[in-house]
Amino acid sequence: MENYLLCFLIILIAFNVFSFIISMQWTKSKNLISLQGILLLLKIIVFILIRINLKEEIIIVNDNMTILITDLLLIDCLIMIISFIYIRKKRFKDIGPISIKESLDKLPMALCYSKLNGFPVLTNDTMNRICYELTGKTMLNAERFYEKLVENSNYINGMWELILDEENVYTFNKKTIKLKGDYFIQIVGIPVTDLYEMKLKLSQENERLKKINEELIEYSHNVNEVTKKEEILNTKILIHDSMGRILLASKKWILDNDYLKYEQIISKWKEVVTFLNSKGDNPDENLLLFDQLNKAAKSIGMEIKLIGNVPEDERIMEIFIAAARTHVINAASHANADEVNIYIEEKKGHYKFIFKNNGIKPEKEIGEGGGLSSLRKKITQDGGEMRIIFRPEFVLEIKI
Amino acid sequence: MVNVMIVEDQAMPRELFELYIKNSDNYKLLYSIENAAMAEIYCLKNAIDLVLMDVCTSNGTSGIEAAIRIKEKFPKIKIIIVTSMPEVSFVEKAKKAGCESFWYKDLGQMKLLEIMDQTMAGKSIYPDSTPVVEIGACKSADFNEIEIEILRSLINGKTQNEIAAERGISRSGVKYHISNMLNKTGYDSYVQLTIDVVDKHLIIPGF
Repeated sequence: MENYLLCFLIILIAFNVFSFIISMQWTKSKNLISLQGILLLLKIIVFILIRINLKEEIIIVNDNMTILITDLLLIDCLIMIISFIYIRKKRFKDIGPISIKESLDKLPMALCYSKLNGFPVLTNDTMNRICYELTGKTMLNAERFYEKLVENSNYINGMWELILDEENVYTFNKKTIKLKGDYFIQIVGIPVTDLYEMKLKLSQENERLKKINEELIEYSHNVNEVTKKEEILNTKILIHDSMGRILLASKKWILDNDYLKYEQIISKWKEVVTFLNSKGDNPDENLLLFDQLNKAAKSIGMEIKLIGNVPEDERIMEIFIAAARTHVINAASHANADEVNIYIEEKKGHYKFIFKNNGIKPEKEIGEGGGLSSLRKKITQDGGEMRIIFRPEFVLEIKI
Repeated sequence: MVNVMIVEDQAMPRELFELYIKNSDNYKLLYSIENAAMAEIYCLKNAIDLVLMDVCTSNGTSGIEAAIRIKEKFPKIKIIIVTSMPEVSFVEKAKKAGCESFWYKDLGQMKLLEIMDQTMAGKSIYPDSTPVVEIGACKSADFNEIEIEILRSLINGKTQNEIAAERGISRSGVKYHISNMLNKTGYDSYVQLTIDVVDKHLIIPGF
């Protein structure tokens, strides 16, 4: 009887050991594992007792106990089977290390956990692939891998951007984490290929738009000239039409010999001849801006005396003319002046304009009117300075 | 006799106006200049009664801005704005500047003198609307005020972000209005749209 029991025990112990190993792999339930362990231990103890019995040196287990042990072993067998089924079911719910590794390998991002000395603890397939492409080897040392990564990457917005090829762009970061009292290095690589492509396209698009903007500005500068030429053409067309009409009218006049219409015909011919004699360009076109200002000042009996050379730079010339015009108007309006003196000093592209006038001197400080305020705004926007002096005479000084 | 000053940068239209005035019994030509920036100076001590003011004069100076300055100092001087551009904003700007009348140049003699007569008689002659031009598949009157202003900013070289900041709207808002205009005109890009608008003088850059 004991021999059969011993055989049965051996089988049970073997099954228990198998079950115990599976439990360790498949479940995190410590209670289950502990129960398995205790049952195994008990079985081993019973085995030893029955072995001693067989030797008949010491009687430990009597017949009644044998029956009890057999019953208990059968119950134990039942428990083993139930727990095995339970563990198998639980396996699909509990996440074990293998599950974790499998999941990480399927992720598109690259992951690596290593000890502080760089020894890798957990690396997923994506990280291994990147490591192989970069170093020619799989992950052997996370620190050395990261150094190589940094050498081959661009630092953008706090991350290292690695471009393996057009379809593989990753941004990496590294940090130290603490887990259950131990420190680990975590390296994460996030795939940004789509984002990188969009960024490239956006950059190209911005360049193209910038170029279009510049062309538009250029076009807008030229379009006024084109418009003017169109106006001239329209006028010429009108004159051509007028010529046609006057020729027809003249022919009819000659044939009808209607003297009363003579004056009208002559008047029309004078108009046409005037235009035919016109050079078609602006007689003042070649007058410099300053000459236009001079001509305007003379019309109101004011003389402008210029000491120095007018600026050649278009932008500075515009400011100079605006200032001169404002001063002429103010001198004529408030000081009843008939002479304006303008001094121009130039040194290495920097200009100083001083405007003075004769006539009535201001008795007190005068607030800046619309003209001077607009002038100051214009000068300040262009990075220049404007100063007004009231005593002993009114002086407008501009530096640009 | 009404003393007239002509401000027109193109010689041919200017000479035409001069001829009309010289041939008229009611008007006397005092000055004929090409730069609106100088117009105010001529008004200081010369007895000018009426100014025929072009909008786009030499060196890019605006006749409407000159008109504002003249009206501030010499409110009795009457100003007729003359232009051939169908620029949408000129009529409104001329009214705000206080100009008495506004005339689209067709270079017909009787019409100019007629407008001058009516203006000196105290009437204010303004066109009912700006000339309508075709922009792509639609007419210029089909654009609303915001669309015109956005177009103007684009033509003056501003980026969409700058326009959005200026108008206090989002960039998507700007894109929405541009998209509407492209749908109306049938153009594929805003570049085509802006070129056509400038070509047809619906919007004049810098004015």
